[in-house]
Amino acid sequence: MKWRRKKRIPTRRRLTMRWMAALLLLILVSHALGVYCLTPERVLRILEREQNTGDTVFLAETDVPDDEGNSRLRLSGGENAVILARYAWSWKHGWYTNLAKYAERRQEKPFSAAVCRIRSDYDPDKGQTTDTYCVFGCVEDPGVTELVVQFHALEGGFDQTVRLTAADWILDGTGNRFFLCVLLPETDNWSRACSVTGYFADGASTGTLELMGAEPRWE
Amino acid sequence: MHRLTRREEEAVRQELEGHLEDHICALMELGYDEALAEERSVTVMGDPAEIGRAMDRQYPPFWLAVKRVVMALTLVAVLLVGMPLCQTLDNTAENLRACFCPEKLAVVRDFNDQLGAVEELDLQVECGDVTVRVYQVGLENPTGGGMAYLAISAWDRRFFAEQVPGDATAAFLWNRLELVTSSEMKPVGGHGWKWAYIYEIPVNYGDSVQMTYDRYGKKFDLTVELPWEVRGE
Repeated sequence: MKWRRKKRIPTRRRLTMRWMAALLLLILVSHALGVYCLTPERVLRILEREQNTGDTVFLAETDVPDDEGNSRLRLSGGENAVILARYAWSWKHGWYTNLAKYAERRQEKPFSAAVCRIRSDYDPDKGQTTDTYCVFGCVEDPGVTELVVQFHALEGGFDQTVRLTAADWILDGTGNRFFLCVLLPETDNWSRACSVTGYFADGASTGTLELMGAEPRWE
Repeated sequence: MHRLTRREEEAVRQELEGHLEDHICALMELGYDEALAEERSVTVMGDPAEIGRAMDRQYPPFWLAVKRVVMALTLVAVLLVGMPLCQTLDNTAENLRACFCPEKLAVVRDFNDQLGAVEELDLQVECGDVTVRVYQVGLENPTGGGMAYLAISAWDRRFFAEQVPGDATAAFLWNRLELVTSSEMKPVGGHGWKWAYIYEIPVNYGDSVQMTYDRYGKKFDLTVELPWEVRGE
């Protein structure tokens, strides 16, 4: 009869640790590949890659109540772009975004801006649609002291005018001045125009940037 | 033993049998006969009930419960991320295809019969993490005007880049790439895949094609010469 090698029975603790390591590895790989994001910053990296904007950093955030629960509206900015996106979390998807809008920064212009519809609700009882818009961007020219955001309700809804001054700028620590302006909800607004006009300290206008349409255009 | 799973019971049983056999072998080598060796070995092992209680103490139920919870979580995680992970691999395959073997003009049925001249190129330019490459050009009539065909591929140099759901590789590029000839004519159509696009552009004799991209601080400007042939007398 031969000597038999004694088999080592792995302990329960060791087996559990192996399974935990496998689970952790799966989660980390998923996070690294952007499949299951554990942080909103990871989602932001994906947004940056989508449009090749270069790096941006989170600047400001606010709550956006919606039917699925609270999601966060976050503004991020960098050298080449300003990104406004709505972030939400679920156990099924991790952190994800279901809305993202980009404003390309053109430093030769007095400011850069874009408009985004951040929420749209339909009330079946009243047959009404309520939309909420947000204007965001970056002040490029240091001489610009005021921005006037104008929402023209061409059909339904109501006109809005918002003045943004130095108190409203969002600073990123490197001298860049960003802004975020959430407009009041518009009900049954079927046609609209939205523009931003900048003003220097002496009251001179920078010109008006029309935001609606495929691309913002200067007038 | 009450707390062990069937696998653990089997493993413990095999280990105990192994110990017994080892002891029996050792005694037989000392000159004992098999029956006596077996009897002595069993006696030395001790009280079976006490052995069972000792084994129970070595297998606390806490870790078994934790292990089962972790196994369930891992299964859920695999189900949640398995498909998206496969899509990431699909994206990687597209990147590799764009880099090493994009479609040639000849394989595109619409263009095959209309190519008077074809030239292989390797004009590359980098745009952030994406490499853009003009790899083939073709002319309907190399001695006169007509249609020119530009084959362009683009890939993310990070081959395991994030999957943009439902979108082409470097979709931002295809949406913003501008092509214009020396005669200021623009593409009128083409044929595309996720990793490459063949542009169809009307040209005059001697034209070249200017390819430009300028977005989000990244820009490039590439001139593509077409394979014109000298006109006969």
